[in-house]
Amino acid sequence: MSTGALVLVLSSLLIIGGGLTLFLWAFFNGQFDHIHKGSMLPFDDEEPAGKRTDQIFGDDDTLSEKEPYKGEEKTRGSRK
Amino acid sequence: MTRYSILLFGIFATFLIAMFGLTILPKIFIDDAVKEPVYFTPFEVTEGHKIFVREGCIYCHSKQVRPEGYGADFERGWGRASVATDYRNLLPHNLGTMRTGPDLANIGARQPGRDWHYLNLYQPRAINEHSIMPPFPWLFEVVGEEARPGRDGLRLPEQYRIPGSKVLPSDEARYLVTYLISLDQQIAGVD
Amino acid sequence: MDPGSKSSYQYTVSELDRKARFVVLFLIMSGVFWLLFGTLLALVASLKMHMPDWLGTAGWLTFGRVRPLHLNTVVYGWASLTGAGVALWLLSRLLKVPIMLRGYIIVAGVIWNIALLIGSIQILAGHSRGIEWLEFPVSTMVVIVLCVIIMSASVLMMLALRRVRQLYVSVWYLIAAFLWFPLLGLVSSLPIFDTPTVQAGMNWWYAHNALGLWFTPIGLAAAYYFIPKVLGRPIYSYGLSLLGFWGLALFYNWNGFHHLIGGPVPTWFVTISISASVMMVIPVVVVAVNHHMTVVGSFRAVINSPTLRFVVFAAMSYTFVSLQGAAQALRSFNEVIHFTHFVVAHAHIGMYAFVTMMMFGACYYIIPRITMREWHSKGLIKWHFWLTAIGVIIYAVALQGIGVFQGFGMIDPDVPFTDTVTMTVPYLVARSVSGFLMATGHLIFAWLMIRMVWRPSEQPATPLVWNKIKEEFAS
Repeated sequence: MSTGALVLVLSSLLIIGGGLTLFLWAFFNGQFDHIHKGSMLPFDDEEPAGKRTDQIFGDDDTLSEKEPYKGEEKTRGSRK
Repeated sequence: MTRYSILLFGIFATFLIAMFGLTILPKIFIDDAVKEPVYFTPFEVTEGHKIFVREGCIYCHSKQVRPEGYGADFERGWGRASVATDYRNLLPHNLGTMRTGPDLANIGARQPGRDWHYLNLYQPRAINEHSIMPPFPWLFEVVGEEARPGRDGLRLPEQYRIPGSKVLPSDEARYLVTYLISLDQQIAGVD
Repeated sequence: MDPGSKSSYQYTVSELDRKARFVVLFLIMSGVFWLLFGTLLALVASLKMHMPDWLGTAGWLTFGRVRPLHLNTVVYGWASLTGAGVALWLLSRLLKVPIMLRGYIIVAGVIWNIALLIGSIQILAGHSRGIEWLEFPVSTMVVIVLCVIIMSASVLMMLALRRVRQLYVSVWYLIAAFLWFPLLGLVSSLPIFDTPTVQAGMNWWYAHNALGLWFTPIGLAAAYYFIPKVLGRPIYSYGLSLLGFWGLALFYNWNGFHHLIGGPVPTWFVTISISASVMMVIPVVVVAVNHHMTVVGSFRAVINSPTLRFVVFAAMSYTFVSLQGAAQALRSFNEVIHFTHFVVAHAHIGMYAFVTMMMFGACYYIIPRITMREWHSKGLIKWHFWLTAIGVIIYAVALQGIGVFQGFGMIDPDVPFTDTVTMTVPYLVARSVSGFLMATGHLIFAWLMIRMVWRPSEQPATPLVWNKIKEEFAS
């Protein structure tokens, strides 16, 4: 094996190993629980989820008729 | 360890590792082989290189021949696959990324005559009417027919001649053409 | 403000926008100036390609100087200044803290504009650094990097003083962008890359990373905010969005050498970049799925919002250009399209159809809210959208269409080289036409922006913030 290939393989293994370790730590440390809550961050009391904004060229209030997607039932309309 | 310090760590780590891999590692593998030889770069060639960079030639011309079997560079007579020492340690590199015009890595071997280059630089359409290469008249001087006796003007076709005048290459044109003619893979660099 | 204090004062959206007003407006207005200047240079360069003798006696206007100045002014002027303004506003909103170091940022902005001006004169005068995407002299780049570092300091302060418990995905992208770009700018300015092919490697590591680690994160951060915000629906899968971020961070960094396929560099470096470029498909598809699932079924709401017209167009362009880029990195495809106009069009789909259109969309949302004014003409907004959208589509189709034929012609030794040039000329003319469409769109946009600060209309044409204004006057 050339030196170049050796450096490559060893460093890749180190990096991938490191990344995997970090990911596994994050997973078992509960970093990924309730992750869907993060999607509500752009909304707040003044501009809540469930209301369209910036409808300049017309009116579209059909959000209430929409099927919420998986996980959205818990979040739609909730206040921060 | 706070959560966002992991984010910061990840941001720096992903960047620095790749930076090392793509900029420092190549230095380690390539630098010595390129700095070691003694290159034939007289003053005119280095000046010509600067003018090549100044006029932005790389935006239409590449200077890297691809290996035989990849593309048709070899079949077009553009030369053998370029190697690091062909660039003769002149900076900035001008490998180029466009072939609006032909590759120039071996142009000195294809067009060894100075007059052809002078004409091409002054008015490219004098050589090939379909060319879209820009003209570079400011590299030349237009003087009266009788001025500078002993120096012949460019042999321009009818429609580009200026009556009563002749066009002479200035120092800059001479440097640039010396540089272009030096782009010859046989003599490229290594002593 | 004492960084140590654990003040729990909650800023309202209006307060945050009010504090952001001067800084963000200044950065975006500067950006729009450079957009107009860069567009003018673009038109000159494009016309000169099929009319090479036009203005052919002026050395300072030769294609080889105008073309790189166009690139540098739209990249470090328009896209970076506007991108920075948009980014700071987004961070203020998402961290619920006013933009920090506002005074310093204004000073930095002024210096940045001056540096661009001086750098522009230097390039036209023949003092280009001669490296693609780095034609501004090192002095200009170092000054710009220092200005960005001031903004990065503001970003880190905002992060430390935030009033939110969780960081939204847009914040991840923006923090990363403000850390990555100064590093890129500094490393590329170091004089340690002193042999030609090594410098070429650094060149393309830098240029591709400028796209993927500065502009792409700002663009994606904007998309992840404005799509949910306008539609009133949260992002489809937040977990997926985080995966997308780490995918970008991991793989994008290694792409650079795909610009040197077939070139005089050791093959295994190139192969690494090709692999990374293909791996990018993962985060790109993740982002596309997320956006699509959030938007699907809300077409009417997208059409009604100028912001989303531009943002969704841009987001779709991002998916397209990234998948196309992954394909271009494959050696078999690269053999054909390398060195052709196909690649130039690809760059424009990325920087224009994605980044620029995204910035337009962001401006249409941000400007009324920080100025408390209305756009004075709905019709002009529509003209802006259609001119620029159709313009860039013509650009892409024309040059990528002929670029493929140009490439096939080049790898066929029986096709005379001059034929590969003449076949492109009609399409270069089409590109100029598309350029005029886009330029007109930019003039309209600039006019709309100017009217926001000069003789703003009393009668609202676009009732965005009118209710808020009425409230303020009522109280």
